Amino acid sequence: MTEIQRTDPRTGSVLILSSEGLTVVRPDGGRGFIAAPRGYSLSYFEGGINVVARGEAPHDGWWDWHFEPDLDAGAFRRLGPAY
Amino acid sequence: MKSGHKLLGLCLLVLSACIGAAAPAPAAAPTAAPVAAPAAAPAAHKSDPAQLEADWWRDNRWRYQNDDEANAAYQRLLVQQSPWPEWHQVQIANLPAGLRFQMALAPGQPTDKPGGFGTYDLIPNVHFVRYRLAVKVAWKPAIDRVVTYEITDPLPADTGTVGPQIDTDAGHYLPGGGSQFEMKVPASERMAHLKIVAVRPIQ
Repeated sequence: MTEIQRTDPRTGSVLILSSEGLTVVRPDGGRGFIAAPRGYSLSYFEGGINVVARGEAPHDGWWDWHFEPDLDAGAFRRLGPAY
Repeated sequence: MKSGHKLLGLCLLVLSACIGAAAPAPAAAPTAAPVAAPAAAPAAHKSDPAQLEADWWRDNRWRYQNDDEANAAYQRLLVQQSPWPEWHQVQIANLPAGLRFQMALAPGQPTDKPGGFGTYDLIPNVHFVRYRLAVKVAWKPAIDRVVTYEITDPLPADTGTVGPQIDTDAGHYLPGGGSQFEMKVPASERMAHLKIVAVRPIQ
């Protein structure tokens, strides 16, 4: 049921989701890892390669958030609250 | 007297059965409507910002002393997107073991990684999630299942009524009004308080 793998259409990299972060497998075979934002565990892919992460504490009143991985920067960008 | 009534009742019963058997079946009888009919289909049109504000104004203007206060409340809603109505009073309660609730899940969302909000209402379809639970598309772009959970260990939660939302992306005013609670435990601890009772698809 859980889809834990997506392909980034821009780079062709395969992204494998775990609670701790995204493993990035590039087309040339190279690998990288983008750690989940501090205080969050990744839950599932939603909307392309964006993820929903669940928080250990609320941020701006919301516990769960959508994040977008920046494969070049190796970090997540907060998008908005998740229900 | 009583036996006379019984005899009359029996005759009427037989007569009505005969009439019913002889009568032609009505075409497309509308009497087969389900008891719990699902809510109407979502509005297909996308309202412009003025219409969205007018829709909110129709339901909520009365709560404020004047137009300026109502306008300010509307702007707060657009910016802050509070899941609670402005009149909500925070009430943290320990929801007791045995209490069941429902939650709408997104495609790919594991049932053992629930979100932070539940409802005591029956969720019949996605339209209900959008309009009565006021879940904006940006918050949950797709919904495909409903999970019924049961609380197994007292769960601290803020409980109340779903507040309205303005879904500017979808162009819809979401009136809310359903029941909801927000779990007040870290996400990683949610399932320690819950067990899954049932999972069903919705559209």
